[in-house]
Amino acid sequence: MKKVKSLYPALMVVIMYVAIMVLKEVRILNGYYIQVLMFAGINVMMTASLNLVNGFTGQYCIGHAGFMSLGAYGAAVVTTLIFGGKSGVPLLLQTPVFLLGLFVGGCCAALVGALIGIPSLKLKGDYLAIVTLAFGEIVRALLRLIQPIGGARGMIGIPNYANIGWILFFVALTLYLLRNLIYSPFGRAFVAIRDNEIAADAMGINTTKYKIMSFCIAAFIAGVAGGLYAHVLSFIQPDSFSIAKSNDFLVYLYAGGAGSLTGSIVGAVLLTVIPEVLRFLADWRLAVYAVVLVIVMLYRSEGLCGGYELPFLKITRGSLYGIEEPKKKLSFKKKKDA
Amino acid sequence: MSMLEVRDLHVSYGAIHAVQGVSFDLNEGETVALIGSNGAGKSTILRTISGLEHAKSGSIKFQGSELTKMKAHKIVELGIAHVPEGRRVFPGMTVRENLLMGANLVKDKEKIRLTLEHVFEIFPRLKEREKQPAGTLSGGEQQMLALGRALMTDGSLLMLDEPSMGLAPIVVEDIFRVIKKINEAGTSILLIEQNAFLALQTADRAYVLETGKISMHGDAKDLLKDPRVKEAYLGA
Repeated sequence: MKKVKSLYPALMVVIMYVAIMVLKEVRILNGYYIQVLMFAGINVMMTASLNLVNGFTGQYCIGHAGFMSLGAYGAAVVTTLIFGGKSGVPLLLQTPVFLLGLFVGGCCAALVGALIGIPSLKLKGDYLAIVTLAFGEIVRALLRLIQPIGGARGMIGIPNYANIGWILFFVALTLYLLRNLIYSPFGRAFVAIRDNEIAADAMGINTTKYKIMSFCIAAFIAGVAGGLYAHVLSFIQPDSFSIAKSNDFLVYLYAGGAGSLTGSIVGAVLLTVIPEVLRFLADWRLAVYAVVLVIVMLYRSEGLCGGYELPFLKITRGSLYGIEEPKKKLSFKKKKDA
Repeated sequence: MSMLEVRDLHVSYGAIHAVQGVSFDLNEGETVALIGSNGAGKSTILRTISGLEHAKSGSIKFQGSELTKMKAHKIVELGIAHVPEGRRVFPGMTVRENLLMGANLVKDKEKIRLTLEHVFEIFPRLKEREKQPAGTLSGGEQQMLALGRALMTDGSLLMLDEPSMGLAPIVVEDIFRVIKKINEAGTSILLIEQNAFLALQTADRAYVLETGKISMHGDAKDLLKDPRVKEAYLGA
């Protein structure tokens, strides 16, 4: 029974996919809605990975779009320049090429993540934020200069390999991996650093190592998300990954609730969909969007889902380091329940 | 040979020369107290021993290994557990998770389980609050948790930074009773305290720090009676 239960989330993803496909068939969802959903999915990946750095490890990265752009360009170079786009590969090989592209994109981002991480993670708080901000802008400026990938004009003709199925798959995979990481004994070290870095140091946690690791993992996921983005839109340019984009992810993260994976989903999906829903308001929609944010922050400063996690997005382990918890419920808990 | 040997230690924060040539020893099984007023450099010495600050010059030897160039997490591996000032628990984790975090360098699971039981024996209150987030504990309970967590590292030297800070007198008494118990069970203790009377009652030996230098040292009992200490720190 327990095994069946652990399959529920996977089942949910399949049901979601089938539902979207059915809605598409009966023309309730048109191509435009599907594309909005795909962007929402990519934004969930970006926000959840940013959450690992900002929400769970307590660092402050404000250049997350920089990692996304590296992933997008890395993946696009593989699928478009090296393999020559859709016409260059037989149908059967398109999926492996696409996955290879995403992997390369993720690796590019993770590598650069480590490179900027090693010197800059000795910095804390505001200083770290400034370095990550500068990093995002440096990446954008450099990409504008490299002519083979289109320079400031951007890259066109990227095959549209990514569809809603792939996006759902990668979102689910991201959330699954992040959940298992954060609730592992290994991942508790991230939370320890966030809660109290000095105490973490004093407990023998190699804080620098863990901080760089959290940056690397987040950068990898952001890189894959960037790769998906490139293969949804078929067109990327350096200016799509500006500081404004990084800000979007920060807004999704804090409106949803930092330190909660549920919050990353809610924040990213809601705030991607709201501006689209409000399109009938024309120019007023941005004002309404901003007002919504102000209201959220006034009444729930910890974010919509701050401090809350859906049951399947957390692991309440019976044990940590293999040490069993007592089976009996403790008395003070019972009182609370009553 | 002494367990911890500090020789001519200098530490500065920029232009401020916080520790100016301090030397002291701690023998295995002893409780040694460093007493002195605010800003005398007590915490700095502790933080330098555990690798959170870097020494400008001088040496710190623990069981023969030189600590001044070592990283904080390596020093914990050698067996020095540091309870930092101001009860730094991990508020978002449960009491249990906090304690197990202390054991993150211990590989032997059976040992972790036994130490955990031992900590719960010393602090029954923590057992009661096992599944509660540490942030919801009272100040005294948080100090107990910080102490328990340090015990979980299974170190042979426990360094305590102002364990009485901000606690009610009755709780302070409890904490010091436990500190004595821990020492009797074989752990050496380096204690920093502003409350000189308590520190001298608990410790075997003590060093008095004044503006970065050691001005007096000796058996704790003798210092308790010393007129200069009495006048400066005991308010008598």
